[in-house]
Amino acid sequence: MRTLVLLSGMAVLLSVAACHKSNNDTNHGQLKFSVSHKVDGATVVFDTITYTNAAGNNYGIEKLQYYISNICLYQKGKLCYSFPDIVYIDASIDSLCSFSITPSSGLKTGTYDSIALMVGIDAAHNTSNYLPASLANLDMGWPDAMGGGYHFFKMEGHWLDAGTSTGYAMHIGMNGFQINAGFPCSITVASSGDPALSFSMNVNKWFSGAYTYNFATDGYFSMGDSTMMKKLSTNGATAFYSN
Amino acid sequence: MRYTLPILFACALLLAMGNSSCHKSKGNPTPADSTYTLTPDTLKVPPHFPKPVIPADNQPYKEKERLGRMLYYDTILSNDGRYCAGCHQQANGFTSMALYENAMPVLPHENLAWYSNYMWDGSQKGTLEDVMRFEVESFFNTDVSKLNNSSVYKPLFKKYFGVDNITTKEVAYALAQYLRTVVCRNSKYDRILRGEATYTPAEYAGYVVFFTEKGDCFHCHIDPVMTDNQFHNTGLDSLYPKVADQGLYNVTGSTADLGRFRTANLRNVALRPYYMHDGRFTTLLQVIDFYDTGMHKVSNLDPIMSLPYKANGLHLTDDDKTNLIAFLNTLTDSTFISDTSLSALR
Repeated sequence: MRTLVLLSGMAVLLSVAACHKSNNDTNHGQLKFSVSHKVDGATVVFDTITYTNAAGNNYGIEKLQYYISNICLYQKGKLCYSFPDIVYIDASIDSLCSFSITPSSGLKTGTYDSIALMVGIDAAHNTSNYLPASLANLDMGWPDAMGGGYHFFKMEGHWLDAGTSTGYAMHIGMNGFQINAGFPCSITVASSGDPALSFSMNVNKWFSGAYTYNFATDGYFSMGDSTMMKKLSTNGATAFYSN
Repeated sequence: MRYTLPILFACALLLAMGNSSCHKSKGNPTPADSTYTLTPDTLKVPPHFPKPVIPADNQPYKEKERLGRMLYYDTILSNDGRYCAGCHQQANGFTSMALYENAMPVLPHENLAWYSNYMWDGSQKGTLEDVMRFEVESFFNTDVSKLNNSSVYKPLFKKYFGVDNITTKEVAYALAQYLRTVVCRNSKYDRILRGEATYTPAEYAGYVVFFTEKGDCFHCHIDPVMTDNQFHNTGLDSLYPKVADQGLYNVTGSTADLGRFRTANLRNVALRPYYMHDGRFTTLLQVIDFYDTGMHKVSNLDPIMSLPYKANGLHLTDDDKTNLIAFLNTLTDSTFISDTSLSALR
């Protein structure tokens, strides 16, 4: 199980009576997550131009790295738990596609039926050198000369521009462009053991939804471009789903 | 009864022989000589760098670092007069002013503690211990019998590594110990990061070129390590007739890796006489001019090089280039190249 990129804080417990009606038992295990990366149901294969997005762009994926943070668990629409942990995901490395959270006061038993997560880092913590110095975090740094903090999301590869292989780099960062995602799920927490959730990202969802993103007309290098980052971050809110 | 004494003597003899062979080291590192206490060392880490990952079986000790330093400057490593410092010259930032070995510039030995990919084409990977094993066993083909017959090295390896028979493993481990201490961390750039210095206007203007989309150097030459230690095709060539130009492809066999080379570390870049894997450029201005207007648009050009509004070059002005060079000069660490604690022992 990979090591988390952790904040120093503890889990913020929001005790809502409705969350704990099932019983008084508390699970003190780890909450385990694993994320798969797919394109319309097919597991991502890196480095070849094999995918087509909603705009008809043929593209491949060579890099897919991002942060997940502020995971929240809900029960019947009520927020039950919020975890401040910041996790680095590299879709090309299996060990960096799973992580654990240790709720400081445990989790009440029961079933949690939806989850919210942020792709990126919230504004309060999106400052240069906030995260522990690691080569991955340094590589995700957003230069101070461009506002500082971190890249929230990096996806790079090549696409066919009128038949010519052309690079693209979808980079999202800067406050205001955090991606707030969420989806229904079923996480059953028993009185012992480690509850778990496997979920997936559909890469093509970054190019469809509220905006049909077309490399040819919208652009293929997004870093620092508010219009492009806005479209991508809006679409990305619906990119995740439970397995 | 009359056979008892001879039998007992024979048993005692056998026992003595057994014990002797038990204690004869087979070259596996054991805790150092129990009569000597090694001195733990704490590696110097530049500002905002991560802690280096050091294997559990080669944690830093001053005595082992010193032993590695001795070897680094000693022709005993080879059978033809070569030694590490013969090419990796401290005064030049631990690189060479000449081209060697297939005319590829000698890669500088600086901040290797943070690397996991080595050589221009990534042909060596892993820990410093792994790459030093390659250097000792393949590059130098070190004759360890010379070390085992040395009145200097044999007792030192016994004392610090606890071995009676020195193997290539201990030699590699000692070199790795020393190389982890070869840390560049006191350039003007580092002092600025520590709040001890400030940029001149030209240096700051160059910093902006480096760390914004104007020059976009930072995506590969990441702050503050100045290399991402990954592989990229930066459009140097459109054809790769020479094996040396094929880069990472020579390791992976994947056509996607044609022309991909490991990102150079820009620390002390201004000290080097040659740039790129084949030394084709001899000044920083030539390098910048290449990135400005000289890149070949090959099919596997790194996506980061494909800025759409820069399809015909970065459009850097002469002032941009001058300022960028001024910033690159802030990466020179004059203390590093003269630090006697890294030099040959006198």
